[in-house]
Amino acid sequence: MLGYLSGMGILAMGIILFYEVVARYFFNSPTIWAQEVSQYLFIWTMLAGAAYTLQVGKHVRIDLLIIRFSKKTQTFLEVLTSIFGMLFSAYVTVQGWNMVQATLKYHKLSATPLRVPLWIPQLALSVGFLLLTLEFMIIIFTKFSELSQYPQKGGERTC
Amino acid sequence: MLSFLLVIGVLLIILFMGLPVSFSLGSTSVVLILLNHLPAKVVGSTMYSGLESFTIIAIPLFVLMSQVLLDGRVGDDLFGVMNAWVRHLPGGLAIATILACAFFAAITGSGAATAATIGMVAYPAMIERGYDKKFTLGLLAAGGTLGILIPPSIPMILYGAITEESVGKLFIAGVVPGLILTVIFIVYSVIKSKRGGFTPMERTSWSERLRITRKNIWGILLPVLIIGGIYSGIFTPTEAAAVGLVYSLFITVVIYRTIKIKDLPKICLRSVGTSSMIAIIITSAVLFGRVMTMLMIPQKLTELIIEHNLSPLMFILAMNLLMVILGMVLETVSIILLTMPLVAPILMALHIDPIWYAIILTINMTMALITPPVGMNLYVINGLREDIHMGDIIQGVWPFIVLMVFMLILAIAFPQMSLWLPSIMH
Repeated sequence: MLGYLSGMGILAMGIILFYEVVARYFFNSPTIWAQEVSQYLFIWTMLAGAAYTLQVGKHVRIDLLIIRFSKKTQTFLEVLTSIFGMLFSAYVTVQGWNMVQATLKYHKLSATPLRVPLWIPQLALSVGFLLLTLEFMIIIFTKFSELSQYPQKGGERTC
Repeated sequence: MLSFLLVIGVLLIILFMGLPVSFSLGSTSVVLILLNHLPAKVVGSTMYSGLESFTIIAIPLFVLMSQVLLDGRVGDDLFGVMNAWVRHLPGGLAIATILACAFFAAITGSGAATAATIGMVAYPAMIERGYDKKFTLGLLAAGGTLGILIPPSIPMILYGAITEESVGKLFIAGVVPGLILTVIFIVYSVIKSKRGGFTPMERTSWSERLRITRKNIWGILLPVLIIGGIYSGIFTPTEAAAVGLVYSLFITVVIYRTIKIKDLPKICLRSVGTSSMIAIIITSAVLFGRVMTMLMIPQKLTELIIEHNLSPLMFILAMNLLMVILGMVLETVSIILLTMPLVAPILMALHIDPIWYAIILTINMTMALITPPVGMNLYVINGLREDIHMGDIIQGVWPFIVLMVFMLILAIAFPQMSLWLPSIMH
């Protein structure tokens, strides 16, 4: 669902920026909002799409070494690295939230004619990484339960 | 220096354990912040500012454009078009393959998509005409790499975002070297085909040539639109991506009718993975770079290099060697984002033109795409058909690696090859 939303967000950015070019050359009236709005859309779509990307395994990784290990070791390593990833994501979620709070406290607005409250784009960092934290948790739980099945089956492929 | 080596060690261990590149960079940065008692609030603001760049908005737009063209099968006939024009020449099919790769690369900016799309049609055609299997596989893998040298190019957008160079200039700088590398591949193919004694195919009639070209003219015009628009200064690379995307949607939905409106959400979804993956690496790499700077590591590295009186040429050669090694295990996006925060200040200290270096780096990256064991294009070609073996691809690809090294030497020896076109740009 979030994946679809992010995808449509990319399309929307394209259309907005296309409109900007058309407005500039054909109507001679560049917009004041197109760049800024597409910038915020970009931040939101990329961060909101990150958890989906993790779910479908599209975050690029080095599998050169791990593919040589047994399935069991691979699963074990995935649990281990996912714990790392989860801790990192949780940390960023908290730090992102701190940033938003500071922004709210001083009522920071964008330095453009639009005067957008900056917490709106900034919140994306916290939300995106919160979703990543949750996705890492799901991976840890599923892989961990897979791991506990291994001793009986002995390195057999489960997929 | 010891702390620097420690950092690299930790990073390498978690990378090789299989944590995605983005999270490896990020968590190494956080560990460094905690260990060195740096202010933790840099995490939020730095990662946010890493995404606050108008330049990198071009990335998801180009990725989606490429996906639209792929799903709309705009590239499928490109091989046919090129074939109609050159198939009577010695090595004609090979030339058609390279030209189709170069053209498709210019449209999509993706080496993997190029290798996959052109490979699908070109491979059976070349094998049927008796071309050597290994040569054909190597040609396809190498032809796909032209994608990152000929604009639009995602690695160059990343380079521009980190070094704050104009992406428009970088794109235009890639045109001449991209064309030269294309010619080098063609010359090699002709020589190789003459030795192999392939009989050229019969010439196609002019009416047939014009018919197939006219049918595909919309796809062929896209690179003209993008490169021309950037070169003349009508729009920025990011806007070029938006215009290209809308243009691609127009030709696939309205003219060729290969895409239905109701398929759009699915096509958009397919572009999320690649885009978001790159964005998260960017934001983590910006954090990593910031932490490095706070620990004075780039400064220390730069001092070290100045102290040892390393000449610019020596530095470039050393970097080339490093890139070859990194290229064997990492893919291009990660290499650029990992190294450039450290390399950029050194370039400045040694008075090396960053646009020239960008081209050298990009040629290095074309090699990274096909150097085993980890070369994105090798996998793509391997996945084309059941009867294609990795061993054959690797054997076929090494002559092209040699040609790329030759190209690299040319680019280092003649900086004006990269710098001339951007210097006369608007």
